[in-house]
Amino acid sequence: MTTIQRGPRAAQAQEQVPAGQRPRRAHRGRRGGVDPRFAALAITAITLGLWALTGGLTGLAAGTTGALLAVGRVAGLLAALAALGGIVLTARPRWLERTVGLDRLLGWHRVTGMVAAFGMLVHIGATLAASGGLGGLWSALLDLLGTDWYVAALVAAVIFALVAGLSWRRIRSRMSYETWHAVHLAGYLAIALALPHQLVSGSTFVGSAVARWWWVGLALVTAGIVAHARLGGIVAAVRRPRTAVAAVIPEAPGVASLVIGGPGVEALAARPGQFVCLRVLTGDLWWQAHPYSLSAVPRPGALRLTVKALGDASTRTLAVPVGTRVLLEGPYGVLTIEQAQGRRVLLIGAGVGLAPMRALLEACGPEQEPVVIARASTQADLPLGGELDLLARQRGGALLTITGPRSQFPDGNPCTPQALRRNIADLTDRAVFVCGPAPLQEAIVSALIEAGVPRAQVHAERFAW
Amino acid sequence: MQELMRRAAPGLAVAGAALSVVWLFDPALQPDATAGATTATGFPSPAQADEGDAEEPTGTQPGEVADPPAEGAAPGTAAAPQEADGSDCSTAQAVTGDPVMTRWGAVTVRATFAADGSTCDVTAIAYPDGDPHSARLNAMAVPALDAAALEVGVDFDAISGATYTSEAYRASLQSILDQR
Repeated sequence: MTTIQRGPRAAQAQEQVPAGQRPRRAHRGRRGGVDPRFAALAITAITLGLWALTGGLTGLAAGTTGALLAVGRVAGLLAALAALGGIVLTARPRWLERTVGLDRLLGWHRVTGMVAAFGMLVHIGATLAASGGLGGLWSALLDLLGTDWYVAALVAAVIFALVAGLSWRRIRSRMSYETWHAVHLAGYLAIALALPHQLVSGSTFVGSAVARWWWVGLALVTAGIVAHARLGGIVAAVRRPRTAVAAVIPEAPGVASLVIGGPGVEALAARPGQFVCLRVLTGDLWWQAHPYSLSAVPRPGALRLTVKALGDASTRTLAVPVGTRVLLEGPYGVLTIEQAQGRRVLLIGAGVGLAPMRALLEACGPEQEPVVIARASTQADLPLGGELDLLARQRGGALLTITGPRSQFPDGNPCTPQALRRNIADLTDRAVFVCGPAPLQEAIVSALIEAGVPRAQVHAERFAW
Repeated sequence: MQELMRRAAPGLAVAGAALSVVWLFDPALQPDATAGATTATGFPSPAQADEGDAEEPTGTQPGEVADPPAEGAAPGTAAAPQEADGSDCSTAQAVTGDPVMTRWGAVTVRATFAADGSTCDVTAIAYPDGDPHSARLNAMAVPALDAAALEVGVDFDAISGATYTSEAYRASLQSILDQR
């Protein structure tokens, strides 16, 4: 989780994995449980079985036309499954995020998108080619479009092509995030528009009530998961008792803490290291929620978020009057002190990424002798510096600050493996938590691993929004 | 609020355009969709001269044919001209054609022939009817095809709106003729 990313653009832009800088995997605790890939495999296998039983296999052997139709059908089924899987992944249901990790979720979403786009091309190509022998492709297309729900299916295909095309990295990087995201959301519409033609004339489904129910069931379950994941946070936030801004406290240039008070805070039950999505209920901010980290252990009836004014919305958020009502969605994130499993702790934070480190530090016990490495360009830019120093010393630990321009460090990374080993004698025994801007965070994680810290002891979380 | 509108605009534009096209053009949402299909009933309409077989429906099948069964007759149509002047249809021999796949399902035609080789009856024993659209269309198209096939053999015109069924019907019927 990087609290650094504050502006709506910057924060949300992370939803799309930046080219070439995706870490191989998230370094986070994973809960046990069934690998969702097995579930996906089972669903695919059952669907392919229905395809085979409803004439898919015999179709393959039934001459060129039969084979083309069978291939077209199976490609369409796989494309539809991939699309459903894709929207489940990108809705980021919490159980899935906890099992798999956000990085892999987003990586898989990309894969399902490509499978869906490619499968759709094969589906349309093979179906038209199969019909093309009877009077040409064009008349075959016109004939199909005279069939119920085929115009809808064609529109779905156009939207899908648009979504896939705009997500191609070279094009994506030239668009504004908002435009891309708005078009990307039309993918939901495409999936809905494609569904009727599958049920009304898909050979797998017209002939078999079991297959029909299976397909409708999959669509409904997907819709339920997506709705719950996308809207559940808002619904829960609305149902919680009132929460409002109790104070705004400047911490460093452009950085301030928001104290949120009210009875709803306890119902939220957020833990240090986690983050919440804050929705400020003013006329111009109510429709957007932005993720901010807790920067202290919640007190009864109050919690503190530390916010960097990077974007328009965060700047306006820091200017709202005391008493403004807010909705807190969450809590999100798996960076809690339990991840340390009782080990001594090293906390590395850069800029406003120190906020969750500050909260984790407060949650540390004295036996964890927490060492904090705080990175900021100047001492004045170091948010929460006094608190970090005091809390670390109270727990038998220490605060190391690294300041100075980025250019003085090799590759801009102030935490080289050598420096880490030199400064922290028991480095490889410690549980390490890292939070900062994405490129720096990744560089630090790599340096830690190179310095010999076991991967399982490194905890960093990418921002979810 | 303006910012919200500005951000939502591209998505709303795509969604609006998509829904409009579907609403305006998708047959499933056209009130006259069923009416359109109904007009395609009756005798094979002289449309769809797709593939050069614009031949007039004048060629006759070997064997005489009495008055063709009433168009759009009850299901199972072509209840066979039952006249016994030389060709006795009561002892007719049935031949089943190959099932021919279409986008929506297989068409299988069966024909019965009298001892002298004249055609007593042609009927599709299987055709796509699993989905509402196919069922509606073929309930009208298949009886017409049966009647036309009995009259002119494989040289019937495709039925407008049921091109696939027509062509598959023709192919299955051809497989019967090839068997004989």
